[in-house]
Amino acid sequence: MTEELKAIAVIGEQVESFKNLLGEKADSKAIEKLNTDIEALKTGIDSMTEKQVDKSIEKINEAVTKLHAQVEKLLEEQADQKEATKTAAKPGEIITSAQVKEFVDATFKDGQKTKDNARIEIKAPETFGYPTFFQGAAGTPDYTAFTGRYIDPKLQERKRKRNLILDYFDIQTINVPTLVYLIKVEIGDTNPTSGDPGGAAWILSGAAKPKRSFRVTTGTAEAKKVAIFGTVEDKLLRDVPSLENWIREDFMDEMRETINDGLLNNNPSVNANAPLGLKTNAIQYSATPAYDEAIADPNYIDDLIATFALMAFNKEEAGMAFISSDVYYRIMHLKATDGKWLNNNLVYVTANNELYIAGVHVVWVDEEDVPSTHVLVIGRDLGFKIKAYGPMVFERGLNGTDFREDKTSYRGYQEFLTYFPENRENSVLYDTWANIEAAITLVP
Amino acid sequence: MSNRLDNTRIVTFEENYPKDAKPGKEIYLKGSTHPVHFKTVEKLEAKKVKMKVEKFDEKAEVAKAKLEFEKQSKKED
Repeated sequence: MTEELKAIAVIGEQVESFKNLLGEKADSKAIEKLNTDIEALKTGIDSMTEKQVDKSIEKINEAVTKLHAQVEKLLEEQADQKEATKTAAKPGEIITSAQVKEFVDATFKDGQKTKDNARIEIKAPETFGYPTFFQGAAGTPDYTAFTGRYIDPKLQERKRKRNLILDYFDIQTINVPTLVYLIKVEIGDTNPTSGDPGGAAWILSGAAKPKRSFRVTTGTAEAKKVAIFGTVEDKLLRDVPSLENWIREDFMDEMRETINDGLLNNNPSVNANAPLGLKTNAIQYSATPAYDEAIADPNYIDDLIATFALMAFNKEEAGMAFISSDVYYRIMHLKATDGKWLNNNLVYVTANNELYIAGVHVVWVDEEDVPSTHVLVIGRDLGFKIKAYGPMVFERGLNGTDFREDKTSYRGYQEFLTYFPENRENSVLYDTWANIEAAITLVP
Repeated sequence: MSNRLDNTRIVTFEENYPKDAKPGKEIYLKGSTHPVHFKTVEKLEAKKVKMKVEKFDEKAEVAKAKLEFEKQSKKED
């Protein structure tokens, strides 16, 4: 098809669209004449002279221009009509009360309905709101597709208890699983009946010097393992990228809790798989001479100072006292008989809310570790020793049928050794407030 | 052998201590059982406090605790 024929075809299409726009108002004769002219030009273009073609195109253009003017006029009329009928009620449009009154007056004359089909339907426009705005073919849509959403990456979990052992005790790491500790035993053969080791004495010059001897023995501690294990489907690991971190944190937290419990409370005679616990061989309170039934109506502060005195009496020195959180705050609440707070050089709280009583740091811990009924006091030079055999381990790997079943397993473990030489047991005291008070209370 | 276990007595009080303490001010309540240091027990005995005193039976206590621990471990398995 030549360029001329293409242009003629476009004009034909234009005429057709004008005809559709004008609809009933279209001048069918004029359009028919125009189509005839276009068809004649299309078929005769090859046999026509240039002059004839120009004339025919000019004629067609004139007719198209007229038609276009007609279309423009029609569109203007439609716009005017729309403007003029703006007050007419249409579905979804707001109408005024005057319009309603006009409609009713025209429809009901003298109490009679004048138009059978006339009806008035009042419908309030909708408020844009979540319950109606978001609609989906299958019921409730996921409106976050429109609004977006923020995922807080923190996994919310229960608050775990504080860790008395891991927070407050010095734990060194060693690289062998067995520890041997040396104990000095003060016995000798100078007096076979008493095993007296002898010692220095004041003597006359030239007299025989007193003999002295002692022996040594050893104690042994073996590493005990705390461990945890879990298996996860690979699909879950792929779809939830944070899962591995969550498992790591959970396993670590679980192990830390178990480590605390074992190192604090375990009696190896009960559970031979766990190491000796701090409390197991702790001493109980017994009154020293100055405190023996010497305090009238004692309170927690009196009780604590009495335990520090016992430690000093036993050649140890109180370094830290662990009490339950509620007793801690109860102490801060204590008042003297004149109603003043007991906060002075003996009992004081630092700017960091650290409580010191008679120079000993008093720490609050959770009820599970030290109940409200009890107090735990440890010496500054603590006889109870804790060592870790290697660091805490968290590893992933394939276990059993994991590979075949698309699973991954995780394990965590660590090993600890503890020992508490018998001659240093006075460096840990664990007893009830009641027992301390029974020993120090002045009862008439 | 630890000091604590050697020195501990299990005391069951048959009256409040102190006997004349105001309600809420008692140190030991009637009917309650406490592990108490033997030196304190001696003081109480000297005051003729009505109570039942037993030596701490470490073997029996350990056996009881072990049984409980084993039962618990089986549950967790």
